[in-house]
Formats: sequence, C-alpha cells, structure tokens
Amino acid sequence: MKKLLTKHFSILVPVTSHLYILLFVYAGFSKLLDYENFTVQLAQSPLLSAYAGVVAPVVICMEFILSLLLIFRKTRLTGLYGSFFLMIAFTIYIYLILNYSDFVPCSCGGIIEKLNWTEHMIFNFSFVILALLAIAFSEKEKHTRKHMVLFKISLPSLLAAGVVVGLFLSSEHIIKKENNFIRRFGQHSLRDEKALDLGANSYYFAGMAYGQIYLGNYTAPLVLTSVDTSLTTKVQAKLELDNTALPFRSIRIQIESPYFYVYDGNIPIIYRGKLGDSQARTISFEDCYFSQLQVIDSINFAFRAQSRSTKSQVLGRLSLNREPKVTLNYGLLEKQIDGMFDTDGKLLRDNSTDELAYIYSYRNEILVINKELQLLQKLHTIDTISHAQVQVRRLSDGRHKLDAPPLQVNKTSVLYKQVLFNESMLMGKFESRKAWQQAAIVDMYSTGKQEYLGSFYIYHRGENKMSQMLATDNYLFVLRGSEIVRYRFAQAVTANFKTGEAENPKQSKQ
Amino acid sequence: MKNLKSLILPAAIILIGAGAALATNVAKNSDANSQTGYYIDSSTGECRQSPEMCSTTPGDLCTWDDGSTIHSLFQADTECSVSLYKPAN
Repeated sequence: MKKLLTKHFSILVPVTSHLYILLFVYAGFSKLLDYENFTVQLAQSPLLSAYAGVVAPVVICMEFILSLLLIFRKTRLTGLYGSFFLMIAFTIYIYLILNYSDFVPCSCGGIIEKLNWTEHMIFNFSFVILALLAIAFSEKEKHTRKHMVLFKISLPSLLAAGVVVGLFLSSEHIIKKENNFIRRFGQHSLRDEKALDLGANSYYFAGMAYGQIYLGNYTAPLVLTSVDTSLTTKVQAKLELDNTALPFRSIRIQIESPYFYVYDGNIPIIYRGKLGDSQARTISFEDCYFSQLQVIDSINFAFRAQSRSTKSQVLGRLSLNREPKVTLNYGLLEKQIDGMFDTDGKLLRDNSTDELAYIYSYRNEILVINKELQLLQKLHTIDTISHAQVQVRRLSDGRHKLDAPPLQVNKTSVLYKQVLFNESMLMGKFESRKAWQQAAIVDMYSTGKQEYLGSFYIYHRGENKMSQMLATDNYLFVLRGSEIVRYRFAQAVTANFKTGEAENPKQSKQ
Repeated sequence: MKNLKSLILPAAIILIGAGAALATNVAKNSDANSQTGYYIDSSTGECRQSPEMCSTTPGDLCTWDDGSTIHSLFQADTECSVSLYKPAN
C-alpha cells in the first residue's frame, strides 16, 4: 500500500512542475503580448500603483525563469520553491484586493482574467497546494529532516506575505504624498450626468448663492443668468451700472452672496449690487488695475496685476476701508524666467474656508494663501514640471512675447472645502492615450491634508470640451460647449470636503 | 540522448502555453466588433460587465438599457475610461 502511494506521488512532482510551466509560460506570454495594458492595470491597482513600472517586468521575468528551473530535474526543487513563493504572493495580492479595495481589474493575462475573484482564489490555492505536496514529496525523497522542510516552506510564505504587504503600504504612501505621476482612477468619482442646453457657448460661472448657479456671458456682459441646481429653470436678468461711460474691454460678474460684483480690470472699476436687484453702484474707481479678481467679502478683494516697477505679475489686496487701500505682496509669485508668462496662473478662492489659492499654469505648483495674502503652504501637483518651460523673447519696445508654445500643466481649476479640482494637461505614466482623446482629466487634491486624492474623466461631447468647473456640496457643474452639465459626486469625493468646525472639530486647521 | 528525450515534453508544453497566449491575444484584439461593453454602476461606482457587445470602430456610442437607466458603455481594460461604439452592422 505504502509503495503504491509512493508510486502515485512520484508522478506528482513532474506533473506539478509541468502544470506550473504551462501556467507561467501562458501567463507570461499573455502579459508580454499585451504589455501596455498590463502596466495600465497594475498602475490602477490600489496595491502596486507606484511600482507598476518595476513590478511588471519583474513578474514576467520571474515567470519565465521559474519555467526554466522547473524543466530540469536538477533545478526542479528550486523552481518549485520559487513557484510556491510567487503563487503565495499572487494569492495574498488577491486577498488584499478583495478586502481592501473596491474594484481592480485582474492583471493576470489571457483567459485567467475571465475568472471571478472567488474562482481565482480557488485556482491559486489549488496551485499552492500542488506545489506544497510536490515539495514535501521531493524533500522526503532526499531525506531532508522534517523541521528543515517546515522551515524551508515557511520562509518563502512569510517572505511573499512581507513583500506584498510592504509594497502595498509604501505604494499607498508614495501615491498620496509623493506621487511620481501615476494617476488613480479607481473609484468613479462622478455619477448621473444631467445636462441643460444654455443656447450659447459663451457662458462662464459667476458663482453660486441661494441654491442657484449664476452664469455670466462673455458676449452679453451685463446679462446675469441663473439656473437652479436641478437644471430645470433658467432665469436671465439685465444688470444696470451707475456709470457706463467707460471704454470697457472685458466685463466680468462674480457672485458672493448677498451681492453680485461687476468689474473690468482694464478699467480700474468695481461695481456692487444686491442679488435680486439689477442696480449696481461703483464701490471702487481708479484704485487699481488688475487682470484677475477674487471677491473676499463686500469690501475686500484679492487680485493679480502687473507691477509697474518689476514688470512682473504680482498678487495684491484691495481693502476699501483701509488706508492705503491697495497692498501688494511681491513675495508670493516666484519668477523663474521672465516673471510674466512663467508666473501665469489662476487665482482661486475657496468660499467655504476663505482661503485663496494661486495655481501656476506652467509649473506644478499651487500656493495656498490666506485672505491677508500670507502664504500658508505650497503644494505640488503630481506631474513633474517644477520649472516653467516657457520661451520668452523681450521685444525692443519692452514687451514680452512667447517664442515657442509653452508646456501647459494646469488648465482650469476650482477649490471647494479644501479640495482642489484641477484639469491637467499632462498625461501621466501608464495611462490610456485613447482616454485622453475622449475626455478631460481632472485631478483632485486635498489642500488640508496635502494629499493627492485621485482623478476622474469629464468626457467631451463631440467637439465640445469642458471649459469650466464649479463644485458644490453634492455636485460638480461643468460648462461644455453650450451645455451646463451636472454630475453627482460619489461619497468617496465628498468625504474629503472639509466639514464645518462644529461638526468635526478634529479636522479644523485654524 | 536520454536527456534530449526528457526535454520533449517541456518543449511541447512551452509551445502549447505560448501558442495559447498568442491565440487568446489575437482573439481579443482582432475582433473589433465583439468587445464586451462595461458600464459604471452609479450606486457603487464600479465598472461592471453588461450583456451588450460593442465595437472599437468610432461611430454612435454604444449603450445598454438596464430597464431603468441607459448606460454608456466602455472598454473594461482601462477601468471604464475608453468609450465603445455601436457595431456598424
């Protein structure tokens, strides 16, 4: 009986080895043939994102080397130990994904991808058992001592567990805190698209108040349009200014309840009116010229202007009740090349926290500023462009001109409850080129936690691309062509919004 | 000679494995018109498989009606990010 059993078991070692060879050769070749896809999937995996570039070739190489080792009788046992180690690592990886992640596509290659997670676990587990039996039998043939076998088996198991868990933990840290430009699209951040046709593509977001989205119009500058958040009714109102005898060039409207503001930085003027009323009165005239403006409150404004003395961009504050009214902070915007184009960017305001932010267009930097224009922190977007790539020529008349089309990093952005939504112009590592042709890519950052949160797509509709965003507690509104589109935020996004101090005192920073 | 003989089986297995990988890869890529469509489940945000077959050749967007909602369908490889189109025929 014992002899019979031994005879049966003796086939086990070559059978197991050949099964492993078949599996590894098949899986290895499948990955190799679809290598780009394999790396894309690994990068989206919540466990290995940061190491996709290393893990991909290493796994494929290991599969081929182990196949070779398993072929020859002399190296077979080593091969079995290696296979045992790799299979355990795969199994732990799947286990972690099942328990610590919402969804990750399998990156195992070929038809093995068609298995569901439970089937996959059973599949892997049976291979682990096979390897274990084959190892035990081979060691018995060699008369290795029992506790030595036990040690030799537990070592690769522990090592595999350690490697996978270690990679997982450090990958999480790298992706969130020191991202090396790998985007995460894991959880779908937006749901339920709803659109309303506004009839023209010249609208821009003026702000939000009393549950209404306010829109300005570049071609009809004094028409204020409001749309309710369910996108059902659209109301238009014509604004009236107390002084219109000025050569306006670019009139803009901004809403900060209970007021609306009308301004044109080319002419140093700001008007203010009460929402619901169409009359606006001049509150600031000839105080300062500016190229961008953010309303802090009814008498305080932050702006960006061109400094006459340094000929570069500068951030400033206009306070109607102080003397002098205008203060400039030269230290905020850092000149890298010419101080004009390289410091270009967008001045944003988070109306829930009163913080301001300046996002450079041509480098991966964000300045978070308080309303007194003091720098609170510097953040970096996940791309690697830390130095603006702008070629500028100074013309003989003193003007600056761009020489080559610059490399734009950040396009449109919005800051809401310490979450920054930023449309990026740069493709990250292991991303699908096709997706970039079909959608705008928006990255989310938490300015409070100084972390990268994830990314999502805003699809183009035909030729129309997203031009602007507006975030609220539950929705992201987007202008795309002549449409205003509403997306509902997933809970995974809104969980990052900074809540009121009373609700969650732990999160408050000030 | 005996050594050489013992290599026949592994060699055959390697050929089978590589051949099968090649075959599944070709099958996956060649048929532009039979791509399984995946949709975004709005309650969980997951990328799920739909019963609809779509095409990678640009045309009308591929959709699937689950009875209450019409979903736009995507290729699953890249996490519901690449749109699929209605098969031409």
